[in-house]
Amino acid sequence: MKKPRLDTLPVNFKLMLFLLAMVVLFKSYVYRHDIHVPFFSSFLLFPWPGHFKTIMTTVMLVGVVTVFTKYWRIGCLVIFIVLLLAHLSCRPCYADSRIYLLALFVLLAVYTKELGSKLFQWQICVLYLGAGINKLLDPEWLSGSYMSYWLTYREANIFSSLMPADDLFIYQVISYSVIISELVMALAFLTGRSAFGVWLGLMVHGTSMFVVDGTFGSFVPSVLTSFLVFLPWPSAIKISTKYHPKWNLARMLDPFKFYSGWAVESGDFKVTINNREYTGFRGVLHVMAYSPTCYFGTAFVLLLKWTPGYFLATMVMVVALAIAVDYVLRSYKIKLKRRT
Amino acid sequence: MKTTFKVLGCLFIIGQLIFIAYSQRYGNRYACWAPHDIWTHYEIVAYSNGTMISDSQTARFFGRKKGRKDLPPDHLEDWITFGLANHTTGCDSVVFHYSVNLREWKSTTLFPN
Repeated sequence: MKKPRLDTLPVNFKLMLFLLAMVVLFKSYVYRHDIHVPFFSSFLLFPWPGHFKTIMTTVMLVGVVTVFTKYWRIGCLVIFIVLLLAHLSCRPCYADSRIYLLALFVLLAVYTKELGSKLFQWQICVLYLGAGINKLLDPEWLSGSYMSYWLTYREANIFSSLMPADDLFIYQVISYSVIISELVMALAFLTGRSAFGVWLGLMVHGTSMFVVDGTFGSFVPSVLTSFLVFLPWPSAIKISTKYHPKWNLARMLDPFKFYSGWAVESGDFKVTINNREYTGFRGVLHVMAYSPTCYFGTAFVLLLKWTPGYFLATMVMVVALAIAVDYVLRSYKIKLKRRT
Repeated sequence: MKTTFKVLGCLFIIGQLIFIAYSQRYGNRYACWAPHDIWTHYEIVAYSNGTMISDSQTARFFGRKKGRKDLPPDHLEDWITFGLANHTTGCDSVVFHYSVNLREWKSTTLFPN
Protein backbone atom coordinates (compact mmCIF):
# COMPACT_ATOMS: atom_id res chain seq x y z
CA MET A 1 0.00 0.00 0.00
CA LYS A 2 1.25 3.46 -0.88
CA LYS A 3 1.96 5.60 2.16
CA PRO A 4 -0.37 8.59 2.42
CA ARG A 5 1.69 11.74 2.02
CA LEU A 6 0.96 15.41 2.39
CA ASP A 7 1.35 16.05 -1.31
CA THR A 8 -1.62 13.80 -2.04
CA LEU A 9 -3.82 16.64 -0.80
CA PRO A 10 -4.71 19.24 -3.46
CA VAL A 11 -3.49 22.79 -2.75
CA ASN A 12 -6.89 24.08 -1.60
CA PHE A 13 -7.35 21.15 0.82
CA LYS A 14 -3.82 21.60 2.16
CA LEU A 15 -4.50 25.29 2.73
CA MET A 16 -7.77 24.43 4.47
CA LEU A 17 -6.01 21.93 6.74
CA PHE A 18 -3.36 24.46 7.79
CA LEU A 19 -5.98 27.16 8.43
CA LEU A 20 -8.01 24.74 10.57
CA ALA A 21 -4.87 23.85 12.55
CA MET A 22 -4.49 27.59 13.12
CA VAL A 23 -8.07 27.79 14.43
CA VAL A 24 -7.35 24.92 16.87
CA LEU A 25 -4.20 26.66 18.11
CA PHE A 26 -5.86 30.03 18.58
CA LYS A 27 -9.02 28.75 20.23
CA SER A 28 -7.25 26.35 22.62
CA TYR A 29 -9.83 23.65 22.20
CA VAL A 30 -9.25 21.60 25.29
CA TYR A 31 -12.12 22.88 27.29
CA ARG A 32 -12.61 24.21 30.73
CA HIS A 33 -15.85 24.98 32.53
CA ASP A 34 -16.83 25.89 36.05
CA ILE A 35 -18.45 22.49 36.64
CA HIS A 36 -17.36 19.01 35.70
CA VAL A 37 -20.31 17.44 33.90
CA PRO A 38 -19.21 14.86 31.34
CA PHE A 39 -21.59 13.02 29.00
CA PHE A 40 -20.63 9.74 30.70
CA SER A 41 -19.95 9.37 34.42
CA SER A 42 -16.89 7.20 33.65
CA PHE A 43 -15.11 10.46 32.78
CA LEU A 44 -15.35 11.45 36.45
CA LEU A 45 -12.44 9.04 37.03
CA PHE A 46 -10.12 11.62 35.48
CA PRO A 47 -9.01 14.43 37.79
CA TRP A 48 -10.57 17.73 36.68
CA PRO A 49 -9.26 20.27 36.04
CA GLY A 50 -5.79 18.83 36.16
CA HIS A 51 -3.86 16.01 34.58
CA PHE A 52 -6.58 15.15 32.06
CA LYS A 53 -6.60 18.66 30.61
CA THR A 54 -2.79 18.84 30.56
CA ILE A 55 -2.49 15.50 28.77
CA MET A 56 -5.20 16.45 26.26
CA THR A 57 -3.56 19.82 25.53
CA THR A 58 -0.19 18.15 24.96
CA VAL A 59 -1.65 15.51 22.64
CA MET A 60 -3.59 18.22 20.78
CA LEU A 61 -0.39 20.21 20.21
CA VAL A 62 1.35 17.06 18.95
CA GLY A 63 -1.58 16.58 16.55
CA VAL A 64 -1.34 20.16 15.29
CA VAL A 65 2.40 19.83 14.68
CA THR A 66 1.89 16.47 12.92
CA VAL A 67 -0.56 18.10 10.51
CA PHE A 68 2.36 20.07 9.03
CA THR A 69 4.36 16.90 8.29
CA LYS A 70 3.91 14.06 5.81
CA TYR A 71 1.89 12.25 8.50
CA TRP A 72 -0.89 14.84 8.28
CA ARG A 73 -3.55 12.11 8.22
CA ILE A 74 -2.44 10.87 11.65
CA GLY A 75 -2.37 14.49 12.87
CA CYS A 76 -6.00 14.95 11.76
CA LEU A 77 -6.99 11.72 13.50
CA VAL A 78 -5.24 12.79 16.73
CA ILE A 79 -6.97 16.20 16.71
CA PHE A 80 -10.31 14.48 16.04
CA ILE A 81 -9.83 12.07 18.97
CA VAL A 82 -8.80 14.87 21.34
CA LEU A 83 -11.78 17.02 20.29
CA LEU A 84 -14.11 14.04 20.72
CA LEU A 85 -12.78 13.15 24.19
CA ALA A 86 -12.84 16.81 25.22
CA HIS A 87 -16.52 16.98 24.24
CA LEU A 88 -17.47 13.74 25.93
CA SER A 89 -15.77 14.87 29.12
CA CYS A 90 -17.48 18.28 29.24
CA ARG A 91 -21.21 18.51 28.53
CA PRO A 92 -21.43 22.30 29.09
CA CYS A 93 -18.66 22.77 26.53
CA TYR A 94 -20.82 21.31 23.75
CA ALA A 95 -20.91 23.81 20.89
CA ASP A 96 -21.62 23.60 17.17
CA SER A 97 -18.47 25.54 16.34
CA ARG A 98 -16.28 22.86 17.96
CA ILE A 99 -18.30 19.95 16.58
CA TYR A 100 -17.96 21.37 13.07
CA LEU A 101 -14.20 21.62 13.53
CA LEU A 102 -14.18 17.99 14.71
CA ALA A 103 -16.20 16.95 11.62
CA LEU A 104 -13.78 18.70 9.25
CA PHE A 105 -10.78 16.97 10.80
CA VAL A 106 -12.38 13.52 10.58
CA LEU A 107 -13.27 14.13 6.93
CA LEU A 108 -9.72 15.27 6.19
CA ALA A 109 -8.38 12.16 7.93
CA VAL A 110 -10.38 9.93 5.55
CA TYR A 111 -9.75 12.06 2.44
CA THR A 112 -9.54 10.13 -0.83
CA LYS A 113 -8.95 11.51 -4.31
CA GLU A 114 -12.02 9.72 -5.67
CA LEU A 115 -14.50 11.31 -3.27
CA GLY A 116 -12.54 14.59 -3.22
CA SER A 117 -14.78 17.44 -2.15
CA LYS A 118 -17.95 15.27 -2.19
CA LEU A 119 -17.78 14.39 1.51
CA PHE A 120 -17.29 18.03 2.45
CA GLN A 121 -20.14 19.00 0.15
CA TRP A 122 -22.43 16.53 1.97
CA GLN A 123 -21.12 17.66 5.35
CA ILE A 124 -21.97 21.29 4.65
CA CYS A 125 -25.36 20.17 3.32
CA VAL A 126 -26.07 18.25 6.57
CA LEU A 127 -24.97 21.27 8.63
CA TYR A 128 -27.45 23.63 6.98
CA LEU A 129 -30.16 20.98 6.76
CA GLY A 130 -30.01 20.34 10.53
CA ALA A 131 -29.93 24.04 11.35
CA GLY A 132 -32.72 24.88 8.88
CA ILE A 133 -35.08 22.07 9.93
CA ASN A 134 -34.65 22.91 13.61
CA LYS A 135 -35.51 26.55 13.06
CA LEU A 136 -38.45 25.63 10.82
CA LEU A 137 -39.94 23.43 13.55
CA ASP A 138 -39.33 25.95 16.35
CA PRO A 139 -42.41 28.13 17.12
CA GLU A 140 -40.14 30.78 18.71
CA TRP A 141 -38.38 31.19 15.37
CA LEU A 142 -41.56 31.19 13.30
CA SER A 143 -43.20 33.85 15.48
CA GLY A 144 -40.08 36.04 15.39
CA SER A 145 -39.77 35.95 19.22
CA TYR A 146 -36.27 34.52 19.16
CA MET A 147 -35.01 37.04 16.61
CA SER A 148 -36.62 39.89 18.57
CA TYR A 149 -34.85 38.78 21.76
CA TRP A 150 -31.55 38.13 19.99
CA LEU A 151 -31.34 41.37 18.04
CA THR A 152 -32.71 43.78 20.63
CA TYR A 153 -31.41 42.26 23.87
CA ARG A 154 -28.68 39.65 23.44
CA GLU A 155 -26.83 41.26 20.57
CA ALA A 156 -27.80 44.82 21.39
CA ASN A 157 -25.81 47.13 19.15
CA ILE A 158 -26.18 50.22 17.01
CA PHE A 159 -28.88 48.49 14.92
CA SER A 160 -31.00 47.60 17.96
CA SER A 161 -32.19 51.17 18.42
CA LEU A 162 -33.43 51.17 14.82
CA MET A 163 -35.51 48.03 15.33
CA PRO A 164 -39.15 48.20 16.52
CA ALA A 165 -39.61 46.90 20.05
CA ASP A 166 -43.18 45.56 19.81
CA ASP A 167 -43.88 44.75 16.19
CA LEU A 168 -42.74 41.19 15.51
CA PHE A 169 -43.33 41.37 11.74
CA ILE A 170 -39.83 42.57 10.84
CA TYR A 171 -38.31 39.87 13.08
CA GLN A 172 -40.49 37.26 11.41
CA VAL A 173 -39.22 38.40 8.01
CA ILE A 174 -35.60 38.10 9.22
CA SER A 175 -36.28 34.67 10.77
CA TYR A 176 -37.90 33.35 7.58
CA SER A 177 -35.01 34.75 5.50
CA VAL A 178 -32.51 32.84 7.64
CA ILE A 179 -34.57 29.61 7.52
CA ILE A 180 -35.09 29.79 3.76
CA SER A 181 -31.41 30.65 3.16
CA GLU A 182 -30.24 27.67 5.21
CA LEU A 183 -32.59 25.23 3.52
CA VAL A 184 -31.71 26.58 0.06
CA MET A 185 -28.01 26.21 0.90
CA ALA A 186 -28.60 22.60 1.98
CA LEU A 187 -30.38 21.95 -1.32
CA ALA A 188 -27.67 23.70 -3.34
CA PHE A 189 -24.88 21.62 -1.79
CA LEU A 190 -26.95 18.42 -2.11
CA THR A 191 -27.59 18.97 -5.81
CA GLY A 192 -24.00 19.97 -6.61
CA ARG A 193 -24.69 23.69 -7.09
CA SER A 194 -21.88 24.38 -4.65
CA ALA A 195 -20.86 27.73 -6.15
CA PHE A 196 -24.33 29.14 -5.48
CA GLY A 197 -24.28 27.55 -2.00
CA VAL A 198 -20.93 29.18 -1.22
CA TRP A 199 -22.14 32.55 -2.46
CA LEU A 200 -25.31 32.37 -0.33
CA GLY A 201 -23.30 31.08 2.66
CA LEU A 202 -20.93 34.02 2.44
CA MET A 203 -23.83 36.44 2.28
CA VAL A 204 -25.58 34.90 5.31
CA HIS A 205 -22.46 34.57 7.47
CA GLY A 206 -21.10 37.94 6.35
CA THR A 207 -24.37 39.64 7.33
CA SER A 208 -24.56 37.88 10.71
CA MET A 209 -20.94 38.82 11.45
CA PHE A 210 -21.70 42.40 10.57
CA VAL A 211 -24.80 42.48 12.80
CA VAL A 212 -23.26 40.85 15.88
CA ASP A 213 -19.75 42.25 15.33
CA GLY A 214 -18.28 38.83 16.01
CA THR A 215 -17.46 35.45 14.49
CA PHE A 216 -19.52 33.09 16.71
CA GLY A 217 -16.33 31.63 18.16
CA SER A 218 -14.62 29.47 15.60
CA PHE A 219 -17.83 28.75 13.68
CA VAL A 220 -17.63 31.37 10.92
CA PRO A 221 -13.83 30.96 10.38
CA SER A 222 -14.31 27.16 10.15
CA VAL A 223 -17.27 27.36 7.75
CA LEU A 224 -15.52 29.90 5.51
CA THR A 225 -12.37 27.76 5.56
CA SER A 226 -14.34 24.66 4.55
CA PHE A 227 -15.64 26.54 1.48
CA LEU A 228 -12.04 26.35 0.17
CA VAL A 229 -12.70 22.78 -1.01
CA PHE A 230 -14.80 24.31 -3.81
CA LEU A 231 -11.95 26.54 -5.03
CA PRO A 232 -9.95 24.39 -7.46
CA TRP A 233 -6.41 25.68 -7.81
CA PRO A 234 -5.27 26.52 -11.36
CA SER A 235 -2.38 24.66 -12.92
CA ALA A 236 -0.43 27.89 -13.53
CA ILE A 237 -0.64 31.53 -12.45
CA LYS A 238 1.46 34.09 -14.31
CA ILE A 239 1.67 37.65 -13.02
CA SER A 240 3.07 40.47 -15.10
CA THR A 241 3.78 43.56 -13.06
CA LYS A 242 6.24 46.39 -12.66
CA TYR A 243 8.00 45.58 -9.42
CA HIS A 244 11.42 45.90 -7.91
CA PRO A 245 13.45 42.78 -8.71
CA LYS A 246 14.51 42.62 -5.05
CA TRP A 247 10.95 41.73 -4.08
CA ASN A 248 10.19 38.07 -4.39
CA LEU A 249 6.53 38.46 -5.25
CA ALA A 250 5.76 34.74 -5.45
CA ARG A 251 7.27 34.29 -1.98
CA MET A 252 5.22 37.16 -0.61
CA LEU A 253 1.99 35.72 -1.97
CA ASP A 254 2.82 32.19 -0.86
CA PRO A 255 5.44 32.21 1.94
CA PHE A 256 4.96 28.53 2.84
CA LYS A 257 5.25 27.40 -0.79
CA PHE A 258 1.89 25.68 -1.03
CA TYR A 259 1.94 26.08 -4.75
CA SER A 260 4.80 25.89 -7.21
CA GLY A 261 2.96 27.19 -10.27
CA TRP A 262 3.72 30.90 -9.71
CA ALA A 263 5.46 32.77 -12.52
CA VAL A 264 6.29 36.45 -12.19
CA GLU A 265 7.61 38.66 -14.97
CA SER A 266 8.16 42.38 -15.42
CA GLY A 267 5.62 44.31 -17.50
CA ASP A 268 2.22 45.99 -17.35
CA PHE A 269 -0.07 44.51 -14.71
CA LYS A 270 -1.79 41.39 -16.02
CA VAL A 271 -2.68 38.07 -14.43
CA THR A 272 -2.88 34.94 -16.57
CA ILE A 273 -4.68 31.97 -15.03
CA ASN A 274 -5.15 28.84 -17.11
CA ASN A 275 -4.64 30.89 -20.30
CA ARG A 276 -7.28 33.48 -19.31
CA GLU A 277 -6.10 37.04 -18.75
CA TYR A 278 -7.32 39.42 -16.05
CA THR A 279 -6.29 43.06 -15.62
CA GLY A 280 -7.05 45.91 -13.21
CA PHE A 281 -9.19 45.23 -10.13
CA ARG A 282 -10.24 41.79 -11.42
CA GLY A 283 -6.56 40.90 -11.73
CA VAL A 284 -5.89 41.98 -8.13
CA LEU A 285 -8.89 39.96 -6.94
CA HIS A 286 -7.63 36.86 -8.70
CA VAL A 287 -4.12 37.22 -7.26
CA MET A 288 -5.66 37.55 -3.78
CA ALA A 289 -8.00 34.61 -4.32
CA TYR A 290 -5.06 32.29 -4.98
CA SER A 291 -2.68 33.83 -2.44
CA PRO A 292 -2.30 31.76 0.76
CA THR A 293 -0.91 34.90 2.46
CA CYS A 294 -4.30 36.55 2.05
CA TYR A 295 -6.07 33.62 3.77
CA PHE A 296 -3.53 33.28 6.58
CA GLY A 297 -3.57 37.03 7.17
CA THR A 298 -7.37 37.14 7.29
CA ALA A 299 -7.58 34.11 9.59
CA PHE A 300 -4.84 35.45 11.86
CA VAL A 301 -6.50 38.81 12.44
CA LEU A 302 -10.00 37.32 12.56
CA LEU A 303 -9.04 34.87 15.27
CA LEU A 304 -7.61 37.60 17.49
CA LYS A 305 -10.76 38.50 19.37
CA TRP A 306 -11.56 42.07 20.45
CA THR A 307 -8.23 43.62 19.70
CA PRO A 308 -7.57 46.92 17.92
CA GLY A 309 -6.99 44.76 14.86
CA TYR A 310 -10.59 43.64 14.82
CA PHE A 311 -11.66 46.55 12.66
CA LEU A 312 -8.87 45.72 10.25
CA ALA A 313 -9.96 42.08 10.32
CA THR A 314 -13.47 43.03 9.32
CA MET A 315 -12.11 45.10 6.44
CA VAL A 316 -9.91 42.22 5.28
CA MET A 317 -12.89 39.92 5.61
CA VAL A 318 -14.92 42.16 3.34
CA VAL A 319 -12.17 42.03 0.71
CA ALA A 320 -12.00 38.23 1.07
CA LEU A 321 -15.76 38.04 0.64
CA ALA A 322 -15.53 40.19 -2.48
CA ILE A 323 -12.94 37.83 -3.95
CA ALA A 324 -14.98 34.79 -3.13
CA VAL A 325 -18.19 36.29 -4.48
CA ASP A 326 -16.38 37.24 -7.66
CA TYR A 327 -15.03 33.72 -8.00
CA VAL A 328 -18.24 31.86 -7.30
CA LEU A 329 -20.29 34.09 -9.55
CA ARG A 330 -17.79 33.57 -12.33
CA SER A 331 -17.72 29.80 -11.89
CA TYR A 332 -21.50 29.69 -11.65
CA LYS A 333 -21.79 31.49 -14.98
CA ILE A 334 -19.30 29.09 -16.52
CA LYS A 335 -21.32 26.17 -15.18
CA LEU A 336 -24.53 27.54 -16.62
CA LYS A 337 -22.91 28.15 -19.99
CA ARG A 338 -21.61 24.58 -20.07
CA ARG A 339 -25.06 23.20 -19.35
CA THR A 340 -26.69 25.16 -22.09
CA MET B 1 -7.72 1.13 2.72
CA LYS B 2 -9.26 3.71 0.39
CA THR B 3 -12.59 1.86 0.46
CA THR B 4 -12.49 1.85 4.26
CA PHE B 5 -11.89 5.61 4.26
CA LYS B 6 -14.80 6.17 1.88
CA VAL B 7 -17.12 3.97 3.96
CA LEU B 8 -16.07 5.71 7.19
CA GLY B 9 -16.64 9.14 5.67
CA CYS B 10 -20.09 8.18 4.37
CA LEU B 11 -21.04 6.59 7.72
CA PHE B 12 -20.01 9.79 9.50
CA ILE B 13 -22.41 11.81 7.33
CA ILE B 14 -25.24 9.26 7.65
CA GLY B 15 -24.73 9.19 11.43
CA GLN B 16 -25.35 12.93 11.57
CA LEU B 17 -28.59 12.55 9.62
CA ILE B 18 -29.73 9.94 12.16
CA PHE B 19 -28.83 12.31 15.03
CA ILE B 20 -30.84 15.14 13.39
CA ALA B 21 -33.89 12.87 13.06
CA TYR B 22 -33.43 11.60 16.63
CA SER B 23 -33.08 15.08 18.14
CA GLN B 24 -36.21 16.30 16.36
CA ARG B 25 -38.15 13.24 17.60
CA TYR B 26 -36.92 13.32 21.22
CA GLY B 27 -35.97 17.00 21.44
CA ASN B 28 -32.58 16.77 23.17
CA ARG B 29 -30.81 18.96 20.57
CA TYR B 30 -27.40 17.29 20.87
CA ALA B 31 -25.47 16.70 17.62
CA CYS B 32 -28.24 18.15 15.44
CA TRP B 33 -26.45 21.33 14.33
CA ALA B 34 -28.90 23.55 16.18
CA PRO B 35 -28.46 23.64 19.93
CA HIS B 36 -27.83 27.38 19.99
CA ASP B 37 -31.05 28.59 18.35
CA ILE B 38 -32.47 29.34 21.78
CA TRP B 39 -31.44 31.36 24.85
CA THR B 40 -32.26 30.32 28.39
CA HIS B 41 -32.08 32.67 31.37
CA TYR B 42 -32.01 30.61 34.56
CA GLU B 43 -31.64 30.51 38.31
CA ILE B 44 -30.96 27.45 40.45
CA VAL B 45 -32.39 27.47 43.96
CA ALA B 46 -31.24 24.60 46.19
CA TYR B 47 -32.02 23.99 49.87
CA SER B 48 -30.16 21.87 52.39
CA ASN B 49 -31.84 21.24 55.79
CA GLY B 50 -34.33 23.98 54.98
CA THR B 51 -31.61 26.60 54.31
CA MET B 52 -30.71 27.88 50.87
CA ILE B 53 -27.19 26.75 49.97
CA SER B 54 -24.62 29.42 49.14
CA ASP B 55 -23.86 30.63 45.62
CA SER B 56 -20.42 29.04 45.73
CA GLN B 57 -21.85 25.66 46.76
CA THR B 58 -24.46 25.88 43.99
CA ALA B 59 -21.70 26.68 41.53
CA ARG B 60 -19.64 23.72 42.73
CA PHE B 61 -22.45 21.19 42.32
CA PHE B 62 -24.55 22.51 39.44
CA GLY B 63 -22.76 25.41 37.78
CA ARG B 64 -23.40 29.13 38.16
CA LYS B 65 -26.43 29.95 40.37
CA LYS B 66 -27.93 32.22 37.73
CA GLY B 67 -27.07 33.30 34.23
CA ARG B 68 -27.96 32.82 30.59
CA LYS B 69 -26.88 30.28 28.02
CA ASP B 70 -27.49 29.82 24.30
CA LEU B 71 -28.82 26.35 25.03
CA PRO B 72 -32.26 24.82 25.58
CA PRO B 73 -33.42 24.44 29.24
CA ASP B 74 -33.20 20.63 28.90
CA HIS B 75 -29.41 20.87 28.59
CA LEU B 76 -29.15 22.93 31.78
CA GLU B 77 -31.48 20.52 33.58
CA ASP B 78 -29.19 17.67 32.44
CA TRP B 79 -26.24 19.33 34.21
CA ILE B 80 -28.17 19.68 37.47
CA THR B 81 -29.50 16.13 37.31
CA PHE B 82 -25.96 14.89 36.68
CA GLY B 83 -24.68 16.91 39.66
CA LEU B 84 -27.37 15.43 41.89
CA ALA B 85 -26.62 11.89 40.75
CA ASN B 86 -22.84 12.08 41.00
CA HIS B 87 -22.05 14.46 43.89
CA THR B 88 -22.98 14.27 47.55
CA THR B 89 -24.78 17.58 47.60
CA GLY B 90 -26.85 17.08 50.76
CA CYS B 91 -29.67 19.02 49.10
CA ASP B 92 -33.24 18.23 50.03
CA SER B 93 -34.76 20.44 47.34
CA VAL B 94 -33.55 21.79 43.99
CA VAL B 95 -35.75 24.07 41.90
CA PHE B 96 -34.80 25.26 38.43
CA HIS B 97 -36.32 28.58 37.33
CA TYR B 98 -35.93 29.46 33.67
CA SER B 99 -37.15 31.71 30.91
CA VAL B 100 -36.76 30.92 27.20
CA ASN B 101 -35.77 33.95 25.12
CA LEU B 102 -36.70 36.15 28.09
CA ARG B 103 -40.40 35.36 27.88
CA GLU B 104 -42.46 34.04 30.81
CA TRP B 105 -40.58 32.41 33.69
CA LYS B 106 -41.24 28.75 34.52
CA SER B 107 -40.10 26.51 37.38
CA THR B 108 -39.26 22.83 37.55
CA THR B 109 -38.56 20.92 40.75
CA LEU B 110 -35.65 18.66 39.92
CA PHE B 111 -35.26 17.19 43.40
CA PRO B 112 -37.17 15.54 44.94
CA ASN B 113 -38.93 14.62 41.71
